[in-house]
This record gives sequence, C-alpha cells and structure tokens, in this order.
Amino acid sequence: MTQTVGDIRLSCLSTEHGVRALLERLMPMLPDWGIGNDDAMTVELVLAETLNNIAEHAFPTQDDALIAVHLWASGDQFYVAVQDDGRAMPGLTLPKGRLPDHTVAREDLPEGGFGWFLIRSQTDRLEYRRDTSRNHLSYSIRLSRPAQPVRDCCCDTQSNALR
Amino acid sequence: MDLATKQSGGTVTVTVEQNRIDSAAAVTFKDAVKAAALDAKDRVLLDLGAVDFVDSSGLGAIIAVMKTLPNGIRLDLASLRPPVEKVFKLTRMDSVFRIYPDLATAQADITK
Repeated sequence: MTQTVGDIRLSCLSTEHGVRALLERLMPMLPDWGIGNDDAMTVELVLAETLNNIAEHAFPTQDDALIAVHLWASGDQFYVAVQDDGRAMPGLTLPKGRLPDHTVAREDLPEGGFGWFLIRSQTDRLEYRRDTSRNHLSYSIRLSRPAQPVRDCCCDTQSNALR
Repeated sequence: MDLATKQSGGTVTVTVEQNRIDSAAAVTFKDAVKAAALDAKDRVLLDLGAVDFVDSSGLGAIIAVMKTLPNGIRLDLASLRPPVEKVFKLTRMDSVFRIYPDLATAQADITK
C-alpha cells in the first residue's frame, strides 16, 4: 500500500503577505517528506499562484479572511486541496490559462496572465467546485521521485535507536 | 526593496538583495528598479543571484520594468537560480530577455 506522507493543514490570511508566510512555513517541511529541490520549487510556485489568485480575486476587498490548505503526498503525487469562502470563480469555471503571446513587440509584451498557465502546466486532476458559499480547488503535482518520510514526526527513542 | 546599484559605462547593474520577488514584493520592486535604472545609457543589467523565488507577479514586474525603459535601452538578466530560471523557461520569457549565467559574462558581452 502506498503510504501517505505529510498530510498537513495550514491556513493563511487572504493577503499577499499571508500567502508568503504560509509558503515560508511549508517549504522547510518538504525535505522531511522526501521531496527534492526540483519538485519543491514546482510546489512553491504552483501554490503561490493558487493562493495569490484566491487572495486577489476571491477576496478583493477583504484582508482578514482565511484560506485553508490541505497538503499531502502519496507515491509520486503531491496533493493540494484549497478551500475559501470568498467570491466564486466567474462562470464557476477555471480560467483556460493559455500562455500569453511572447512573440510581440516589446511594448506589447504581457505583464500578466501567466498564473493560470503556470498552474495548469504543472498540475493534474485540476478540479474546482462551489458549494453554497465555499470554493473548493484541488489538484496534484507529479513528483520526480516518490515521497517518503525522512524521519518520524514524533521522534520516539525507539525510532531514534533504529536510525 | 533592497537593491544595490552600480554604473559602469552605459550599463547600470542592479543587484537585488532580497530573496523573493513575489506578489507581495512586485510593486515596490518595479518602482525601485525603475528609479535605479534612470542613469542607464545602453542597458540595465539585473543581477538576480540572490533571488530564489519569482512568481507570475514578479515576472510581470520584471517585464513591466523592461517596457518602461526608453527605446534603445535593454534590460538584461544575470545569475538566475534554478527556481527563477524555471519560471522564465515555462513562460518562454527566456526568449525575450538576454540571460547570462553570471555577472562577469554579462559585463564582458558588449554586443548591441
């Protein structure tokens, strides 16, 4: 049976600084889940895009709302589930996230529109649903090597002795 | 936004001295680099060697800086760390900027 690794629930305030604080708490944990640098940087980027989108668009005028994040890994998949009670996605669907055209004159280069492209290009099982007043967004990120706990969270003497 | 600026010939080298250009930092980053770039005659060289995270807002801010430079002045990039390089590659912005592995290589390249 594939073991679930990590399985933590974090939350952050619906602001850019709240998102940064959550990422700064999460990232030091990922090596303990056996997640390598390359995979960790994908996780950080995709989560940043996801949470900043929610802070900006689901809570455009609210700085004290909470965004709840559930994270775990199993085998070579890193799972993300995010909930918030902010505004719904327009049309109740996720943006297409096409890559903006970069083959244009300098003054016409895009300064935005990359966020959903980055999320879509790095994730699988991307799903969004709205129930009553809550947004549920989930996806997985494929890891280049399976996650596995590097050390026990509880550090009891027996497992220390075995190491 | 912590920046260090050095002028040499027509180039202004702007070294970013903090580790994130994220959504929370993007606006102050943009304004600070624009101000630092005012003395550039040929190019602005943005040294990202200390930066280990750029998101789409940070990328947008770097693009915005380039677009505000007067015609004839380039924005070149140097010393991209792997997470930053990844964002430029995924969005194809690596084909829009001249990207140098380090500052010395960037300063030695005087092609227009």
